[in-house]
Amino acid sequence: MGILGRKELVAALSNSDPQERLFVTPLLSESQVGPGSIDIRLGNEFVVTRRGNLPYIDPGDKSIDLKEKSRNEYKHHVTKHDRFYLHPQELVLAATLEYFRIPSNLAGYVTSRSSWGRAGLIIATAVAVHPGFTGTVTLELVNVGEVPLVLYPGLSVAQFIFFHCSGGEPYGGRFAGQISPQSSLLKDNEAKDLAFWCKR
Amino acid sequence: MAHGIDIGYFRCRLALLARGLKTRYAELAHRDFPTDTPSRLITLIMTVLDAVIDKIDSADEKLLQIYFRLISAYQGNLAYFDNAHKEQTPRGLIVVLEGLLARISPGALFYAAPQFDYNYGIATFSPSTNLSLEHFLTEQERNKLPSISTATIHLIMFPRAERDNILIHSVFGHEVGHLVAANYLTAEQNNTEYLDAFKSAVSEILLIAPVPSGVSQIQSIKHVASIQNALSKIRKRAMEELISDYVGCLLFGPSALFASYEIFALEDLDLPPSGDALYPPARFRLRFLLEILKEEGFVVSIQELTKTSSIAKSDISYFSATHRLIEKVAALVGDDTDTVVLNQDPINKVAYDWVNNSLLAAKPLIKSLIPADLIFDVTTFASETPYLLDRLALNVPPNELDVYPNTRSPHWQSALNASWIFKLHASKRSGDKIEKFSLGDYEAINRLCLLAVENIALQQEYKSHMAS
Repeated sequence: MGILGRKELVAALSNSDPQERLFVTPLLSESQVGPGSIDIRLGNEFVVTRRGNLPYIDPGDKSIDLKEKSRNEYKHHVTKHDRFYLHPQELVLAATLEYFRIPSNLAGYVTSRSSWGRAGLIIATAVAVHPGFTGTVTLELVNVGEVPLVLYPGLSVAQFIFFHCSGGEPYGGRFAGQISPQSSLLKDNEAKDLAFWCKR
Repeated sequence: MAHGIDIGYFRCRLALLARGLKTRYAELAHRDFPTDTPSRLITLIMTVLDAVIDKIDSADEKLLQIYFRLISAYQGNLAYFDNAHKEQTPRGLIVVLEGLLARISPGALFYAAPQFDYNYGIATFSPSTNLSLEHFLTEQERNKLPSISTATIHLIMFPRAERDNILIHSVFGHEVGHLVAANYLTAEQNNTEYLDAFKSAVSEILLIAPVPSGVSQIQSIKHVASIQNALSKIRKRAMEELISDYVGCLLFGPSALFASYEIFALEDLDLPPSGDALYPPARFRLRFLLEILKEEGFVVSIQELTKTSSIAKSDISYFSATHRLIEKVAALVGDDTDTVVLNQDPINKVAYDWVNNSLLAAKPLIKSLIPADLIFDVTTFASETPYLLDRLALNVPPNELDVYPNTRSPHWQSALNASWIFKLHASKRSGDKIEKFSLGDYEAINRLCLLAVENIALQQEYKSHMAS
């Protein structure tokens, strides 16, 4: 397994076979393709949790599990030039501006750009992106700094690092084809598994 | 007061009502709207309500009654803002529409809102008259209001349940067309040819349905006047709708027909003009839309494109289903039952004969009224949609042509039309098998189309910014 460098990234993006091509769209600037990653931007939508109505999240309690969390969320759409304030210790979900189609021979992970990390912004805590994935990637933005951070759609806050993957299959998971930030949804088999551990 | 209510009490009551209404508007003001028109209008309304609250304290009984009626009317306007925010509107498409309207109706402002009726519509208004500002404020006070108070505003309404059905919003082009139709018909009224044709049409109706013998002169005049009135209304409504269809087709291409077909197909296609609306029969409109697509070369182009193969190695061209739909519409409009129904009424018959003649003459002029770069031509359609269909088949938004690093933006209409063609194709490759679309697949096309329309606008804006 090796991380794709710039030449390999360009080759993947320009693969003549569309089935095998890496799609990252819109890739607004060529400079986004770096020596070992592709810089990705913040999209326009943020999912914010209404804390007042959400006492806790308990995967063992159907009435207040990860799925129910989405009932206490609202979407905030920010237009270009408009600000989104991320306060210290706040967690919001955001989608990448870029839509991805990852061929089955690649996988990747998303990580912060160091300049933002140093300001206290963590952009992803669940970073793995599977082979065959299509859609925008949901970023989990957390401000672990001391002061509020102002975010704008289009800011280049993260980087996508790709590596080769063998035996990959088209991704048909619950996040396939998403264009907005999404909270987690349990798969049927996961619900059964949880019932074993949590007596749901 | 007329009902014996103490005036001081009533002043307090109205001030509280106005404050309550202002609070409702303030709650809406912080929503994220796709264009800034709703926010500006809300600010204006709140400014006016503040002024009214100031005036209520010295208002006499008569003024209080007027204020009550006006404040009540202002409450009705809440409905036009309540769901006009981004989450309840197809926001990317709204931004595209704003761009279109800025070119077709320069200087006017625009916003869109869902409505509870299953209907699309456009309303044009100016706050200075629609908000009855002259009743509330002196001229001096009105002059101090935000500039939007005198602006022309176009409000496009769409059925709320169709919010996420991006493809069916192709009928927005028809709504934009109403502005062109209104200008054309206003100009036409002063035309001597129009007046001659009107007289001639009335004479023709009178030949078929003459004034009954033995009636008085007054009754005879009334008879002719009612014919003139009905003829004028039926012909005007038909011209409005058909010119709007023409503009919609020019702006949105074949998607205008596909969306209209979806809306009309479950209705009575031969319903003659009736009620206040006096709409032309749906079959008549579908026939006209198909004629336009033929004239603009789209029908031949789609037929040619059925010979192309796809990147996804499907044996069936994406365009085959679209071609079949066009043949189906052709068969539908080949049936002249709508004309038979129209011909049963002498006024309808003569009005629609006149409409047919008028449209022939009107089309070149109307086309010349639309900026050429806004018209979606068949060459663009044929060169861009096949590539975008391949992207849709790969579950990728149709917002780019070519391959990195040579990618470029297509026209947003190509993305919309490709999405329609892919929808009509209604099947996808899964491994070695071809599967029919699930309901989720149809929904996914709408999502991809919306994202593509938004991305195309962004790509063009970014490119232009970086080049400047």
